[in-house]
Amino acid sequence: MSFLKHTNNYTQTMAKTSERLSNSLAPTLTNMNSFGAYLEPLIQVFAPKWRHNTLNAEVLSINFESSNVYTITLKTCKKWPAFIAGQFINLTVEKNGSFYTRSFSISSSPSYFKNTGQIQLSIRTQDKGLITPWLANKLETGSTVYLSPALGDFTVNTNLNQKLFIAAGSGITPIKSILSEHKSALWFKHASLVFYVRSPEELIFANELKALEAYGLNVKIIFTRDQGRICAEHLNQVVNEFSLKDISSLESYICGPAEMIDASVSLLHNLNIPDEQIHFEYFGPAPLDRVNMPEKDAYDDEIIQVDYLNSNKQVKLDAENLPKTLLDLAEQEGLNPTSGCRIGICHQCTCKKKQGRVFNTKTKQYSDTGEEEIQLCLSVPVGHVELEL
Amino acid sequence: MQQKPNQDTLKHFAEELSQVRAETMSKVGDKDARYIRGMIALQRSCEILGRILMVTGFVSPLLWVLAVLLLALAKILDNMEIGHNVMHGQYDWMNDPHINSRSFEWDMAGDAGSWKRYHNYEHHTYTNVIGKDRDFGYGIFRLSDDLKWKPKNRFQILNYIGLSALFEWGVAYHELAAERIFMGKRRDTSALPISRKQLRNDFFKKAWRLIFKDYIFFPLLCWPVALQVLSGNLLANIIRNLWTSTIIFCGHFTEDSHTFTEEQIKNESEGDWYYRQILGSSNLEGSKVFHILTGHLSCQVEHHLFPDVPARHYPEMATKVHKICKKYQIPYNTGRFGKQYKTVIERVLKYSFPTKAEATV
Repeated sequence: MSFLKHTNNYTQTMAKTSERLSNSLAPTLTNMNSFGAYLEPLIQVFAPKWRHNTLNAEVLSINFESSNVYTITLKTCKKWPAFIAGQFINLTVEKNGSFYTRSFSISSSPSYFKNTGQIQLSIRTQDKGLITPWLANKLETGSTVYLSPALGDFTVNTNLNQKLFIAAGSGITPIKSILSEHKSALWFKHASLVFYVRSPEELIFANELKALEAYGLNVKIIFTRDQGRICAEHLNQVVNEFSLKDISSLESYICGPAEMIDASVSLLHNLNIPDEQIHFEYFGPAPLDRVNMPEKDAYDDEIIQVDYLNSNKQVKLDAENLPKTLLDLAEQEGLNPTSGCRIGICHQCTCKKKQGRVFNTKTKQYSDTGEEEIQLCLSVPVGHVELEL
Repeated sequence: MQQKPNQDTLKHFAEELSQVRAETMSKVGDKDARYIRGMIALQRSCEILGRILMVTGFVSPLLWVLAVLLLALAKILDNMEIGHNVMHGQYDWMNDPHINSRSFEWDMAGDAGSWKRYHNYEHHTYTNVIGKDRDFGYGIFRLSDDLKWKPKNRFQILNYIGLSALFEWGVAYHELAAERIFMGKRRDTSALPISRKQLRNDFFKKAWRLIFKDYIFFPLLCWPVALQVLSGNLLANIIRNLWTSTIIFCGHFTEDSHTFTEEQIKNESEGDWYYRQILGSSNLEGSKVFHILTGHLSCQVEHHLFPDVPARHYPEMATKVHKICKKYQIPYNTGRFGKQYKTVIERVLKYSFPTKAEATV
């Protein structure tokens, strides 16, 4: 036994050493970060969709749930790790030669993945979007897409507290995954779902929700066209209709557009539900101009200057007309920095800031003035910033 | 020399050129992505095959010659059609982590970061402006009357041959020379966006990488035939140096390519800028393979007008640009490679000697 352990350690050390060796040799011998990256275009001659260090999936089907929501079923590669219900992934597709990355919640459950190796993404078409309409119309079954591992902490607390789920529109997707996964759990019979949809025509997952009701879930569907958006009255109705007790111990999970989340959170505060029991996920990037703006007096000057050192360009902006992220600003200047999810997850737009203060819209922290790596898509300049771009 | 067109004409001229750019950019997409990936795959095949064949040189010298040629070809493709163009940002729209101007590094002695600074900015903005564009003569050659003749210029053809053989080291050293890193009197201020120490470190790091790979690692790896591998690698590097140098000299130093003064470029309009780029550059005509081997620098005029358009479109754009130039009676410098190169050599020789006016003083 101890011998086995010993050899095991030995192989591990060997593997680590060889990895370290290859990491330091690759740039010297190939001018690329890794041998995989060096060989990638060569391997693609035989396997066109192969990419170094990426996880991929095959598109099995695309089905419309309503006129503007569709579900993509993907068969993931074997290396793709498991996920927890409620998490999302970054989906990367190649469209006319360019890679685009967007984040989508997984709408199917982990048990479904375990049985079939498949996951489902339910996506709402953004009318003026570059990618969501294209996915619906042009993505072919059998084609290859690229996935990140599952991300995000919008997952359910499996204690026995009563749970209230509030979803709006396609914000139902992570909640559907959570509910399908836990339909046999003890807490499920005391769980309630309030689902906001514009009109009956836009209702999605009607059959699935009916099936979950049979397992004991309380479901209330509210059509905003007739009854308006979330308000205290709606919540009171839910409390009465489902005879919810001990409201302050309620665990609540909210997913939808920013305004809906903000409104729900303050309504739940009014019901004396503490912050630790309120979980939410912004659908789409958290809005820059709302909760995540640098304070008015945070700017160093009235005119904010950004220097792009490697391109020898600079812009001057009125602090009043900000906030714009450094990524938006760079693109506006005609620079094309590598970018991906645009919400701070994929780190593709990471860039070295030589100096200057920036505000991070995700952590809400102000940076130091010195040199550091920053994510362009999350950073709003609040002083004279110099970037290696 | 023709009279420079007036501003109104230049404005229409600039609009037509911008139109050419827009038409081409609307076509850029999938095909370009496949093209550059295919080109990189070809480069990788040549490099790997070349390095393997190099070892078999003891079987027959012919195999060694073939290996050297393959490796030289791999380096030429890497530096010209792939590296130069990728680092101009021509493929940044692909959003590919390995094919973009930020992360690309090439197989030669010069550090990509340093090259991007002085080439993309200094040379492409101040093309052929004496005192601003150090690529015009590299501070070594006298190629126009703008510089006073000095006795050392007499032997500049020998310098030219030397620089050509060691061209990659010229590229590596260019920015350090301007900053007087190793010799000469340093200026108090510097427009360098990084510290001089960083510049020096980057230089050594990249130079060491090339030396280690081509002259230590691969020769030692093939120990019994180390000398044969070392000499093969050296020769491949020299062939690449001679080729790139030759092509690049044809870009701006042909007989008719013009120079400009700092005074002339004050308050330059878009039309002025286009006009100067065309007058300062010259094209080479040839087959498709020839264009690829030059990294499409054979279309130097189009490259200077549209540096971030994927280069494979330049030959097609050249036909349109040439036509527009004819319409506005703007000189367009183009010719067969042999003819153009002859004028470069003649220019180097011509300015080796004092101009008549100077000689008689």
